[in-house]
Amino acid sequence: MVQDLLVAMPGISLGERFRRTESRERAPSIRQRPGGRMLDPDAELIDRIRNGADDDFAALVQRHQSHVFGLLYRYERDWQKLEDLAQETFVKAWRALATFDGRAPFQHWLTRIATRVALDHLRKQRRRRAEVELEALGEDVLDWLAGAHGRDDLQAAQAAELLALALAELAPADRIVITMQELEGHSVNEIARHLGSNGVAVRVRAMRARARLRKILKRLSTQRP
Amino acid sequence: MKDDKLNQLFSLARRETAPPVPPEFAANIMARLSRQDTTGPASISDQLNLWFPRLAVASAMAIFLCLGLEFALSSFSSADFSEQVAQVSLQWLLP
Repeated sequence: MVQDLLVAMPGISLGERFRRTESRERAPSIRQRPGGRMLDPDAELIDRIRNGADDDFAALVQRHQSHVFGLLYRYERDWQKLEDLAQETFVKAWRALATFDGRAPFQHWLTRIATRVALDHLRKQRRRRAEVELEALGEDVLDWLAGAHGRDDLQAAQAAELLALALAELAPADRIVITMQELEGHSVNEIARHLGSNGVAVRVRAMRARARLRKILKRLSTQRP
Repeated sequence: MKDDKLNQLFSLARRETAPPVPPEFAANIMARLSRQDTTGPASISDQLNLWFPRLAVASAMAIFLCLGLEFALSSFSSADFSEQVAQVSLQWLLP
């Protein structure tokens, strides 16, 4: 609802939007929690933005852009699309900034938005079978898949490409769960919080995704031209 | 594929770093936000343009309705519609 209110206020400065929304729905400052302890290094900056320093949002973007790019790069490897997704994440964060209450660090809140942007993006894409693009990954990858090479013969970028190819066959939610768990190191509870789900559902989904991924990679390893 | 090989793949992929963020990225975001923010209320001509298809259809329907009425009335009575209107206006509006 807050987002709708923010969007439906054309011609009003950015800071003014925050002030109007905040005065209705939020506490005046997120900088200090009970006891006066500073919780979030971004709190001061966010307070300034809410008080009308619109340009400070650029500093907030600069602080977190690498994190957002790194996260979204797990789901989209095309550079142009990646930049679009990152932009969408920050625009959504800007529109919803008035609802940020500072209970969790800003980066966690931003991660949740980026994850939802990624999930929406994956849902819009058609799932594809990986065979066609497998050859393009090169001989090293094909050898590794066939078990002809040792443990560290595969470069990180090659491994990520191969994994992205196999992950593209999974359902979007399964892909998000397995990526967050295995590549970003999130716990089950964190994933559940980010996706608005519960721990049991995430655990089941992760197991299913892992089993499916093993099957996909096994199939790819036997389909070498 | 065995579990340890899948774990190995995850472990290798985890080491990959994302490409560097373009230097103008933050500026592009701010420009995009400003563009969205400065979209003021629509002018009268914009609103007319928005309504044009509906207005055009409504006008055409009104014209065809009048023509149909004229045709129907003229075929059911001896005097045509315009003569009847002239009579009414003479009797009631211009005594």
